[in-house]
Order: sequence, then structure tokens, then C-alpha cells
Amino acid sequence: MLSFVLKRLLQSVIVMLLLSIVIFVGLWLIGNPADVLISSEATEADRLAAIKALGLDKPLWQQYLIFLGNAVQGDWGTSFVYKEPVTTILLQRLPASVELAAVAFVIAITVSIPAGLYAGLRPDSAPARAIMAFSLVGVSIPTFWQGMLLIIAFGIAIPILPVGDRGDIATYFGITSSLWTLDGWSHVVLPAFSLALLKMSLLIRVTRAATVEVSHLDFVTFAYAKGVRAWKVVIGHILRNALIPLVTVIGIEVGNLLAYGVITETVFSWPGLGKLLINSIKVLDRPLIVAQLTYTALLFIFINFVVDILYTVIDPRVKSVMGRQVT
Amino acid sequence: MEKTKFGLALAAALSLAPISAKAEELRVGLAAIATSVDPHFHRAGYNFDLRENISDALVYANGATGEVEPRLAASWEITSDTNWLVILEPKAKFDNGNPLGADDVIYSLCRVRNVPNSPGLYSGFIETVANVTDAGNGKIMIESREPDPNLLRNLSNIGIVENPTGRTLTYDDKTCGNDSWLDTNGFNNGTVSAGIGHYRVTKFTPDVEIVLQRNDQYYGKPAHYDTVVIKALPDNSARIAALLGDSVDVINSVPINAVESVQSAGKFHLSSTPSTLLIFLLADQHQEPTPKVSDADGKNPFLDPRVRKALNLAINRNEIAETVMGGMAQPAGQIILDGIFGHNPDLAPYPYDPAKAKALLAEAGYPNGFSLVLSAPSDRYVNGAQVAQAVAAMLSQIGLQVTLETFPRSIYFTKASDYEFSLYLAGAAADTGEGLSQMINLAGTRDPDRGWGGANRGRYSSEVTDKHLAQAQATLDDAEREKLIQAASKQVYEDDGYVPLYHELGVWAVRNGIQYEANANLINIFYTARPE
Repeated sequence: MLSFVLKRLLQSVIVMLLLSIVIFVGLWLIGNPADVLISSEATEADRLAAIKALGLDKPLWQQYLIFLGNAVQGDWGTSFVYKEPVTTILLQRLPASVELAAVAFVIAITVSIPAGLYAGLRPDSAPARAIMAFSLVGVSIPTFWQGMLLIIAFGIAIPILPVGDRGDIATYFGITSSLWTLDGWSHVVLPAFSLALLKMSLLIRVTRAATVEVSHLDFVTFAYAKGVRAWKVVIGHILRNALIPLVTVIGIEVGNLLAYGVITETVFSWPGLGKLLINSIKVLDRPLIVAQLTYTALLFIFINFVVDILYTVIDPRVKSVMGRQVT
Repeated sequence: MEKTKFGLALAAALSLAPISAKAEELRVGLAAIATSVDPHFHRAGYNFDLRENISDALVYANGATGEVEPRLAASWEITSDTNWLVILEPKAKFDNGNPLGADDVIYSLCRVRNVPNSPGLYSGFIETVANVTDAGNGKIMIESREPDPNLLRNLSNIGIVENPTGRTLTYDDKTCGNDSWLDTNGFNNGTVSAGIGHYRVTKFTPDVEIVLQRNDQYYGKPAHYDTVVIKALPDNSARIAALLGDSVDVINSVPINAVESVQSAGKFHLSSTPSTLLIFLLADQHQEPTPKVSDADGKNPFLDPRVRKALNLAINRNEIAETVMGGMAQPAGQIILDGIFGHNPDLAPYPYDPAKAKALLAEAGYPNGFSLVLSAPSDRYVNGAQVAQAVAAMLSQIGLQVTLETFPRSIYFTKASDYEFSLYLAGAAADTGEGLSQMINLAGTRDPDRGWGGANRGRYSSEVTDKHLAQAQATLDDAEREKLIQAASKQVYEDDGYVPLYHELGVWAVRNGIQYEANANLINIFYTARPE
């Protein structure tokens, strides 16, 4: 198990190194941040001064090595645009993203698993068809569009929910969050639902497919024949086995929620990481982009790691395979 | 004696009561908000916004009236061609109660060149300053290198901060003998005051929100609103939704396709004014062959004035302003906006005459036109890409084979600076609120050493224009200088050096019951906002 963890760690370091190189070269190919940042009324001398101030006058490999050297020491650089340390800015924005993702995650899971399970157990019933129709709509509507629809419906036509922004925040138990206040909740509901809709629909479909598959297997039939109560079969046999593919999908989706709420955050002007990423890309704020994408990679690596651990809990067979892989 | 004092205080308290009773708040949603509280950190429109509200400069170049108004400079006098004697506002005090002194002004001007990691210094505004000295009795003497009529207008962009060094620096154009400067982060986290202004920043979250509190110790006319909440809403639809959904009272750069929904809501009015931001086409007038033209026998057709004239005649500016821009633009025949110092009223608008344009092309040796790529930024100007599309269609009507390419601005301006375009669309405004700086920036021959032609990436160059502009730069007499700028405009017009399209309108949507200033420099002034 320990060597499995070590191997994973090594892999992640390599992935992150490669990623940072790709981002560096990619951004360098795109253009010169100084040209975006300087005023159109500025003189050529001002432009050269800006290039020098941002360290862009050095050759790319040198810029990269400087970045790497600092990053190893925990300094991820200073934003070109804000001149604040990148970590400060990211930490400022992270709580908002985590809040939104957490609420969206809870909405998605609490709706999709029961609904998917039901649709898988009674595939021909009318409610199951309704659930599947709903999930099809949810998967097909583009996020930005349903976001706008939600805003128009609940923010403007029937103005019961505030539009955009994060709402009041409060601090309890050392955690500053908008989820501690009523105003915060009224702000988060709409974007969280919008963000959850696609995940929800996807998870419904995955749960249903897994349920249908598992519920026809011999051990389920045997359990029923044995006289095990129906709900025990559903929870203990069907759901537990259906969870294995589901956990993988949920893992990836959690990562997506945390890192790529870009569209929802933009539409709802939610002050999270996604909105920051888009804005940094627009002005080629390289230190911020590099830090954010590396954070994202780290996040996915971590989630995959947790998923692998979870497998062993849900399905003991996996543990033996993992042991063998290492030796 | 005591009694009178008390009575006065009571009267003052009573007279203030109706204002302070309900803490009034103005909520503004902007397409871009300041990236720093530091008044000298980054020269960009969204930073001018905040600076003008929190950190007064010596003067204010009013974008609504075109006038230069006193601020920290109570008055001034030109004592010789290059010497300006400025009397500092005696009532102006910093947050800690210290009065404004000559050393603060000198320190601030010195700091402009010494902001580490600045992505764009303000140094262009103080280039002509040769020396600043304490003239005693709350006066300073500013010397310019050569006569500079726009000295104070330029200085209107430099916020004055308090000198923390405890000594008076000796001005020079490097470091003024000082090696430790106020840190930008100190301004952002509130440990350093940004200076003397109508408002103070109480909360600054980059790219999210800025909260301002009225400065009740302000020396001049106080602002009306107690607090101003500025929210960053870069996405057009999010900005409109925030307005319609009642989370903000004012938004800027109203997207054209949303004008109707704002008006039909019945709760808002539009506040608009033509801005100095000129949107233009500029042809490469330097390279031969030029990169994005083909079928022209290796020549650069734009070196021929007849071809440039054809471009100007081929464009239906009214159509673009009315249809593509939805009326949010004012057709332009010259660089300087009507009503701005230096505008030449004698230059007739370019007629729309595609037949004549075709004839001119034939005369220049291109009866069948030539192939051309028109380049435009996709996300820089209001409806910029659509305007470029319309222009491309109009140019094909005079027989050119036009392909349109658009790039996000992150790529676009690098390419333009590397002279990769043959005909490109761009925009430039008058930072100083008058025409000379805009002319020098656009029509002056591109020369980094001289600081000329910074936005002239097609490298239009005319000796006559340059001569007029150089002369204007050294003429202190307003009437004479304006004539020179007008002569330069005329020359550009006759050379067909530029294809001016229109001046963008600055458009704000404002909740009824609030009065909000439409500013020709596209700056947001919160201290003039008030209930109607």
C-alpha cells in the first residue's frame, strides 16, 4: 500500500512538471502579456519597460527555470495583473468555489442516486421514463444557456432569488463561508442547481445503467430467492455493486465541479476560481494560469487517488490486485 | 463661547441629518474593475476609474466638460515658457491629518517611475517634467523640458500619495536618490493610504469587488453616497442580469443587444456620451510587400494614396453606426472627437462612394482589386468583430477580395506590434482629454525614443503632420496650438493616412432616481452621482 502511494506521488510530480512546461510554452506561443496589459496610448518605451518588469525579456527556458526554482521553494510567483502573490489570490477565491461545488455536489448526489436507482429497478414504469427524459434534457442543454434561463426565471421574471455574487459571509469554527448566512444560501441555490444539473443528469444515467446490469446478475436473483427483504437486496447487493462504476464518475465530476465551474461562475458572476481562470487567460496572466492549472492537476490526481482507495473499501477484490501490481 | 460652539455643532449635525440618517449606498457593476489600489501601479482605464475617486491628482481633466479643474493644485500660473508655479490646496489633508506638502508631490512624481513589476507604468505622463521643486509657502515649481501646454492635463493622471521618507527628495528622472518605495501590496491591503480623495477603499478583492467609503474630511465638495460597492461583471449577460435582477444600480458598457431589454424594463434610463475612443482601420504604409496582401505583384498597394482614399470612400460609416453599432457610435471623419480640443470642423465627413472608390483602385492599377486579409480583435471593442465583418463586406463591394481574421486581444496586439497585419482594426482614446496626445499617439511617426506613434502600428508617417504636431507640442497659446493640431488633422485627412470609422459612445444604464455622469473618457466618477 505504501509503495502504491509513493508511486502515485512520483507520477503526480512528473505530470505536474510536464503540465507546467506545456502551459509555459503554450502561453508563450499565444502572445506577449505586455501587449495586452499596456495602455493603447503608451509609448514603445513604456512597453519595453513593462516587458522587462514582468521578466519577459529573458529567454523562455530561463523564465521557466526561475519559475521552477521559486515554485520548489513554495513561491508560485506574483500575478502580472494584480501584483499579489498567486497563492494569496487563489486562497481568496477557493472558498467560494468549494462552497458552490459542495452545494452542487449534495444536490446532484441526493437527487441522482435515488432517481437512477429507481429508474434502473423499474425501467418500464412511467416515473422512470420521466426521470430518463429529464436526464436527457439535463445532459443536452448547454450550461450557460440553462444558467441564463434560471436567472431570467427566478431572478428577473419572478424575482425571488438574488442574481449573481456570493452574498453575505460569516465566520464560525474558523471557517469563513457564505453558507453560514441565509443571504449566502439564497445566493448559492441558483448557481449550485445550475452547476448540479448536468452532473445530476449524468449520474442518473450512470446509476441506472449500473443498476440494470447488476440487478440481472445471478447473486441478486439468488438473494431474492433466498427471501432477503427487497430493500436489503437493493441497498446491500445492487447498490453496493452499482457503486463501483459510479465512484469513478463521481470522482471525476467532483474534480470538474471544483476546477471547472468556469461557465456557471461566469454566468452567475460567482467570485470563484473558474471566473478567475477565464479572466487570467484573457489577459495572459501567466503566473495565475500556471498555478491554477497545476492546482487542478493536483486536485484530479488526489481525487483519483481517493477513488482508488474507495474501491478497496467497496470491492475487496481490488485490494489484492493492487498488492500484485506493486510487487 | 462654549455655547456658540455647541450650537454650531448642533446646527451642523442637524443639517447633515437627512443625508447620514439613511446610509446611502450606490452599487455599480463594471465590465472591468481596478486591478490595484496603488494609484501608480498600472496605467489602464479601469485603474484611472478608481484613482480619480480615491486619490486626487493636482488637477482633474473633466471628461464631461473638457475643462481642467483644480484639485490638489488650488491654482497655478505659468511664469515662463517652461515654468509652472502651482499653489497647493491648503485645506487638503491626508487620512492621518498631515497637510499636503510639496514633498508629497515630489515623492509621488518620483514614484511613478519606481513601481516594481508594473505591467505598464504611468511614466508617459511625466516625460516632459524636468524638475519639481518646493517653492515655499505651499507652492511648488514645475519645470518642463520644453514648453508643454498639456503639462497639467498629463499630471491629472498622477495621484498624489503621502511621502513616507521624512525628507524631501530631489527630483530627477530616475530614482530621485531614493531606494525604498511604497509597496503596491500595502495599498491593496489598506496599510498605506492611496492619498486624498472623495472616497477611501475599505475592501479590495481583485476581480471581484471594491468597497468605497466616503471621506468626510475631504477638502472640496463632498460626494453624495456614503458607500459605493463596485462589482466586477465582465460577462455582458451577467452584467445585464445583475442590473435587471436588482443587484446593482448602475452598469457601464451596456451591450448593444441588451439596450432594448433595459429600456423595456421601465426602471432604468441610459446615460450616454460620445467618447474620445476612436475605432479606426489602419493600413500598413511601410512594408513592401505587405504580409497580408496577395495578387498585387509583390507591391504594397496601400503605399498608393489613391488606394487609401478608396478605402475611405468604400465605407458607409452611417450604416455601421446605425445598424451594426445600434446607434451607439458617432461616425468619424477624423481622429479627434467633435467638441474635444483640436477637432477640425472644416474637414467634411468622408462621403460613401463605392463607384469612385472602384475607379480610384483602377486608376492605381488594380482594376480587379487584390486579395487582402483584414485583421480585427474579437474581444476588445464593443461589437468590434461585427464591425469588422461589415467593413469586410463593404470592401468586397469595391472589388477587393477580403478575408476577415479575428483574434482575441491576448494575441492580437502582439501580432500588430510585430507588423504582421496589412489592414487592421483598432481603437485609441485621448487619455488626457484633449486632441494633441491622441494625434501624437496615432498620427505621429512611430518613434520609441521620442514616445511618438505608440498606437500607429501601420506606420503612417508624414513630415508635415509631424512638423505641425511638434510645433503644437511647444506652443502654450491655446488658440495657436489648436490651429496647429487642426492643421495636422487636415494633413492626415488629405493623406488618407487613417480610415477613421466612428467614436464609440460610452453607455451606462442607470436605475431611475439616480443621476450618474456619462464621461467622455469612459471613466466612472462616483462622487458626482446623486439621487435625482
